[in-house]
This record gives sequence, C-alpha cells and structure tokens, in this order.
Amino acid sequence: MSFEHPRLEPAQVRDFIDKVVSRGSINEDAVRGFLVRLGVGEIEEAAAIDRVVRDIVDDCGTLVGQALEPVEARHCRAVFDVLDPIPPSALGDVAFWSFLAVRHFWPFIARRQHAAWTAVRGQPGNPDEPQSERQKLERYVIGKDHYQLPLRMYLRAQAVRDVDDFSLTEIDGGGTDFWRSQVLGVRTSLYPSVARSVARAQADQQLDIDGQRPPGRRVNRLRANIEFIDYSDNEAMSLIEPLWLVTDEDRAAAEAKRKAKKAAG
Amino acid sequence: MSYEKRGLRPFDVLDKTQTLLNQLVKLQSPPIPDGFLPPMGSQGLEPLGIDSNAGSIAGANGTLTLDQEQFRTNAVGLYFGVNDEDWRHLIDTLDDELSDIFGRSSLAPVSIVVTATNTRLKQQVLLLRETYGQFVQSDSWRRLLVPAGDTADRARPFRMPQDGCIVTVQFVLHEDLPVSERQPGRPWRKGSWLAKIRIKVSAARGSGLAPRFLTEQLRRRLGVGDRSSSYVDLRADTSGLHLVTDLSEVMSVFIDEEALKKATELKPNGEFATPAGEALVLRWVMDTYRALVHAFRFDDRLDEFDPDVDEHRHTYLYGLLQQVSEYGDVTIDEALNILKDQPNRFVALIENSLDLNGADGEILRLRK
Repeated sequence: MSFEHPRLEPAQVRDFIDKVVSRGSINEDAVRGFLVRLGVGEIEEAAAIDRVVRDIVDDCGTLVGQALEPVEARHCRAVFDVLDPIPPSALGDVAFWSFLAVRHFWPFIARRQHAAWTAVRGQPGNPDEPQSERQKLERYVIGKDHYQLPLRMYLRAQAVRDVDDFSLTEIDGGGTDFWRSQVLGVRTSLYPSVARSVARAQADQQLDIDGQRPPGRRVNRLRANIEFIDYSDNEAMSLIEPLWLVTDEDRAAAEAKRKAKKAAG
Repeated sequence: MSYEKRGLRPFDVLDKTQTLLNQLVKLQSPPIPDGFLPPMGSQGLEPLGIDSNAGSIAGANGTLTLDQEQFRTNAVGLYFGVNDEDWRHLIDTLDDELSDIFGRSSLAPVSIVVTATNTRLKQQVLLLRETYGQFVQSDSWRRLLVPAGDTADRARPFRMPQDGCIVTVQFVLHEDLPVSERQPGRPWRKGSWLAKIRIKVSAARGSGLAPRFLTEQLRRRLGVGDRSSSYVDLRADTSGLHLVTDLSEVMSVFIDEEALKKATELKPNGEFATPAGEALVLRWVMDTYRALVHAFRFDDRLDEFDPDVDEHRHTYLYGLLQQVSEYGDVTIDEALNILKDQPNRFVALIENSLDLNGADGEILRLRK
C-alpha cells in the first residue's frame, strides 16, 4: 500500500524519542535528518505549519508545562486553519498526525509537555517514575487520540467553532482536563452545538476539575439517550445549562466519598 | 426530571423493531446491482449480486471490510432485509410499535437517521434522513448511502480509509412531542432514539495482541534480565486506559522466543502438541489479563467509565466486562465494581470465563 502523505508508525515515533529526543541537543537539523533517513518526505503545507508553530513558540516566552494552557488555547484556531485543508485521507490517518508532531510540532511539545520531554532526556520530574513520564511523551506525539498535542488543538477548535468564531476555545476550563475529559474524550465533541453549550456553561459556572465530574456524568448519561445531530445551540443549551452545576447531592456524594477514603486509610 | 436515569432506557422504545434491525439490516459495498433480486430467504453474509472477492457485506455490530481503494471509491448500499417480505415485516412491526407508544403511528414525530462517524477525529456526517412517512411509503428496501467516486463531495468519513468509520442507523424523534401528547414512559424529547444499530466500515487490517519474541536485544532494552520468560509491557499512561479500543496500541506481550515457538506447536488436528505447551500458553494469557486488570485499577479516571454510555461500549474494557458478566452470573455494572474493589476476584472471573479449571483438568488428565 502506498500513501500520498508522509507517515510515521508508532515504532518510528519511539525511535525518534529514543534516538533524537533523548540525546538532549534536539534541533531542526536533527529532526530532518531522522526523517530523511527514514525516507519520509515533506508536505505542501510545511512552510505554513512551521509559521504557526513559530508563532506559538514565540508566545510561550519562558513558560513551560501547564502554565502554557492559555497559549495552547489561543492558538487552537491557527492550528485548525492550517491543518483542516489537508486532504481527509491524510487527516484520517494516525500515522500522519504522528508525522506532524515529529516534523513540525516538536518545539511546542517540548515546552508544553515539558516534564515528559525532560524525563526522556534523563531528567525525570518525578525520579520514582521516569518510565511513566517517558510513556506519556509517546501519547503526546503519537496521533491516536486527543492526548496528542496538535490533534487536541485541532479537535478543540473543531468542537466549539461557530463558523468563523473560535472564541470558546479560550474559555477557562480550570485546566486541560476540562477539554480532555468533558469535551474531547467523549462524544460531546461530535456535536458542536453540545460542545459549545458545555463550554458556555463552564465559562459561566467556572467549576473546578472535581466540580466538573458530576455534571460531566449527567451530560454523558443524557447523551446516551439522545442523538444530537439536529440540535441548535439554543436547544442544546436548554438541556446542558440545568445539568452543568454542582448540586447539593453532588456535594453530599463528594463528602461521603472523601470520608470513605479517609476511613479506608 | 433533572437528568436521565441510568441503566434501562427511561422511556418506551421499539424493542421488536430493534430485533428486526439486528436481523435484517445489511450494509454492502458495492451495492446490489440494479435489477438483481436475491433469492427468497437468503440471509447469508455473502455480498449479493457481486463477486465476493470484490466487495463486502455486514449486519448489526459487524464490520464491512474493504481495501483502501474500495473504501475511498466504492458506492455503499443499505438494505432493510433482502426482499419485499422482509421490508413489509419491518414496516408493519414499526407501525405497530409506534402505534403502541404514540397512540397512532402517524402522530409519531419519528425519522430514520443514518450517519457516518470518524470517532478519532470526532467528525459525523448525515448520510440519510427520512421521516417515518417517507420511510414506509418507499416501495424499496434498498437505499444508496454513498455514491461511487473519490470526489470532494464524498461523505468525509468515507475519505479516511486508515481510520475507517462507523455507520449508525437509528429511529429518532425529530422534534419534541407536543406537551399535550406527553405521557409517562412515552418518549417526547427531540433526538431520543428508539432503535439503533451500528456497523463498522474498515479498510485496516486488524492488529490483535499477538505476542512478540523476547530477544536478547529486547531483554537488554526492556531491562528484564536474562532469565525471565515473559514480559507484559504497558506503554501508555494508565490514565484513561478504560477508553482504549485496541489493546495493541498500548500493550505488548514479549515471550522468550524458543519457549513461545515450542509451546505453540500444534498437532495436525489443531490441538497443542504437548500439555506443557498448553499450560504455558494459558499462563501467559492469564499473566497478560492480570497485568491488564491491575492497570485498569490504576486508571485514575476509571470512575468516568459508564457501561451505559455509547462510546464506552466500543472499548476493550466493555468487552472484558461483558465476557466476565456472561459467564460469571454478574451484571456488567457488578463486574465493573468487582474490577474496582476486588481485582483478584475479577481475575478469577476471567479464568471462569475461559474455563481454566476445565483446561487444567485436561492437562492433568483429571476426570471432571
């Protein structure tokens, strides 16, 4: 089977991590050299993608890790705009996304997923678990799901865009976990009107991560019974808004759970 | 009600129609040629009217398997049975059930909605929508879902052969039921689905969890010593493991090369060549399950797993819970709780589902 787009299989990504990232002095030439040795070519959009990544990295300043969540949020639209015109046969291929991460997005991955990146280079954030941080890095690079950095930025923009309005990508979700657990990791992101409603409700309620879990479960259960393909924003919001808040029952359940955990030692 | 209750559907649904969708609906590519009439009573899973090497057919929960080129260019047809008799049976049943639920079937604001979904890219497109009236007035049990051709207007999930897609066929309420018509147990909310099936469309070869040889070089790289016989390598973070659909994405099983080759030698009749070989294979299988069960337990988001949520039903974990539930006389919810609270009991229930006691008996030549 020949492909019209460049691709990297998971084993090749692992090689990239082992042979390029772990050496410490990663740069553009080292990455290109690695890809040339594998015979992996370029794509037409390379220059445009590089410009987007350069803007993101410039915006990072000296920050790393979770502190870059707002930067990630600000640039979701640019990532979506530059990637969405790529042919669907490429976008619908995990190995193409892995190529995008290795060839173009590594400078942002190095900053945004700094703990995992430095762990691979022999400086684990948690010395007791160097292997687990190394494994996390694979997940941020291999394009199989919404953990991967460029894919999650693309999906976040796609999930809440309203024609040309991408402002909901920047709402305060209380951390990346909101997007991962309540929007991108569940079928909510399949229905933009529902995803926008969840984002708007979260912007309104400003729930923290623990506070989002019970409403998230309620939305998931609602969604199990409803096909939302024909829902307008108003219709979706009328269902989501009453669910996206912390109820007295939620507080009581959280307290009971906390006590049970404490009792169990 | 502030939110839908969990477990059983919170309203009356089309049970008999659901059974018929499971039995009758077929997705085929390329479609049945015009003018070809399948023989009466044919319900087999051989493509109808075309060379079986050039196409594929699948029913509910099945997989339509195409090669990359076919995936991007073939037309795809949807069939409600394979003859007029099937079709009449389906629409008569639908009419009866809608009348039972809504008083008169003509009052039911119900449509059939068919979508194609790329679950990784979270993209869904509408392939077919017919109101109940349009559906039953059609005199054909055949529908063309995707026309032939690799063009820009081809449904987007059908332009992504590597990912594949899922076709969902469902009867849904296309608008809220008027307040005056609402009754306890009667579905009223727009979008409520009353019967649904899914069929996967794939152009990728399956990748199971086939063991890999634990070579000397790998022993060094994995740091497992010279004398170990096997190693279950979980590559990913355990957080979110419950959402994994294909274990090979996150897990590799390495087994000593010589031992694996010897243990898996088979007699001409397909049985293991030696009892020791069978015993070793069972040990590796259970070691893998044990590692997996404990990895699930360390998934800090396991509480988010809900067997009633659609997308969780495609996961590996759901399949494992089903397996344990089916053989262990526990519900899926109970199986999930056992996994969380009594992982060793869960492992025993996996052994039960695989009848390891029987296998041990055969290996030891015990009379059971």
